[in-house]
Amino acid sequence: MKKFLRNHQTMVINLAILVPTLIMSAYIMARGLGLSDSLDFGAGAYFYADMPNFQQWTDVQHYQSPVPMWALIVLFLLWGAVMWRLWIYVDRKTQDEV
Amino acid sequence: MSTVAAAHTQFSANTVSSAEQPEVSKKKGLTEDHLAIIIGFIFIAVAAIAVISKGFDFAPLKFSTWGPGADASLASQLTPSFWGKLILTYVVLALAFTLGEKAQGRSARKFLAAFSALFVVAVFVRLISAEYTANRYLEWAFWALAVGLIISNTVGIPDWLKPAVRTEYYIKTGLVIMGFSVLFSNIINFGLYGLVIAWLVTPIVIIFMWYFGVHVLKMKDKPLVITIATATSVCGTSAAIATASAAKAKKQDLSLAVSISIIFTVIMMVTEPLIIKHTGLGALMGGALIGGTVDSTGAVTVAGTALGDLGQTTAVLVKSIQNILIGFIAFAVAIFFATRVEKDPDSTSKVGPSEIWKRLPKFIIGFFAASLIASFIFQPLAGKETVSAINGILDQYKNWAFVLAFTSIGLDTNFKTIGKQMTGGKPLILYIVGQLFNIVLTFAVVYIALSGKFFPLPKIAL
Repeated sequence: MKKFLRNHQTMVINLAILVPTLIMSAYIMARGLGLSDSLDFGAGAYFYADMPNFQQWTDVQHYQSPVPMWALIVLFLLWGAVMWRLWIYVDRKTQDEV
Repeated sequence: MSTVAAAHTQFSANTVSSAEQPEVSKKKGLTEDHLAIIIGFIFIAVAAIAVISKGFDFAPLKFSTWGPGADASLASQLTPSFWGKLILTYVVLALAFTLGEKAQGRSARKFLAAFSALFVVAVFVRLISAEYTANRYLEWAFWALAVGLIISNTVGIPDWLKPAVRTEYYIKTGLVIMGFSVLFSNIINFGLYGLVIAWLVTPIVIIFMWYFGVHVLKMKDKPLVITIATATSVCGTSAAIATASAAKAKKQDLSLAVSISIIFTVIMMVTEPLIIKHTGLGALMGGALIGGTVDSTGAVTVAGTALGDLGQTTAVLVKSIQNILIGFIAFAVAIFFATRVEKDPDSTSKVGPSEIWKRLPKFIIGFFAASLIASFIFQPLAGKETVSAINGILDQYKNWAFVLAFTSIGLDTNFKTIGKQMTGGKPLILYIVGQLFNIVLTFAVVYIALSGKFFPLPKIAL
């Protein structure tokens, strides 16, 4: 038994995760858990435009940003550039190790 | 060509992005990518004219929710308007895709016959997806894959249907159409708070998952790694579709990433608000945590609603910023794969701009351009309401294109291939570890930004 578990470690871990996950999601769906009566959608609305009348979520201003849009875009691009360099660095380093 | 590069060329066959490029299309100069851009922009233009002129109705068929619990029954939807919309949807899609096939030098007659049959299957998929429970939890991607798989693994697909099984063609076109709804202007929705929560964490999670998948789990299928990483950190199915195409992932990679994301989203949508309530994290921080970690936007909204109005608004604000990341991340992934993954490992020189251009999946430029045009040209000129109305139409065409694509994936897949894709369960481990890392990191950032201990709390109007 120990030998079997050692040889099939990944498969056992996966089954231990996958089976309860599938049972749990089936249970949630069968019971209709987590839904809201006022909303005609759920996890199946993958993208914001998939939600019925999505305008009510996107066309309303809920927060007045004291930071102007151009500053947010600059910060966005700066962080994107830093992360791009990091990704290249991580990939290069790990390839060197290989 | 080195053996690794040769292996990659072979690996690229059957991809979401580059496969099935016929020889004839190369002679004529119009590739599948060019046509996806042309067709996508025609859809955008016609939808915009329909909304602005109010001269005609371009909206395609959409089933209303039916079944026990829904207001409408299936039979009550079969009105003359329903049949009119069905014919419009078929004619528009058949015309666009058949002309595209013709432009690629393929037989329009054979494609049209096959497409008509595929469209019938797609209608069936959308019909069952609209059932009350199916609509709320799983929707079209799951059912399209399931129906396609059942057909191909039982009765099989006849040869005459094969010309319409064109996953890449439909996905690329759907993505260009979707680009118009990726509004970069949403970056201001939650100011610096939203930017920090959504944008600080997301790329770190992607890089962590890339490292973990490629170098810890030793997964050889790099497009699968990046597809799962973006599905986990950005916004589930839509991000997976965009990135899989950008990384030239195999069709089965996309279906696997989407399936994992959908199943776990159902669970997270229910359990995350429960845990947040139990721990007393509060609606503001809880909503932001949900917005940053739950995959699909619909699930984010529903889970946020469980925390009340503040939780719902905060969750949607954070998620609306994550939605805009799709274009940038897909573009970055396309460049990364063109310059680093597809690079000949024996070569020490940098990949030049012309080589990058050659390798870059061109449709990604159409996707990105549509997003920038909508955000910085169309929205300022025509207004938010007009862009929303246009996107209301385009989203349904995007969904039809994706349903055709996912049904094609199902039709082109056998159960043995799915088993092989699991590669000892590594994709599942990658998702779980990545999602846990995503939750921990997002929680840390949310706590710093929104606990009120480090920065003033934002004033949110409900």
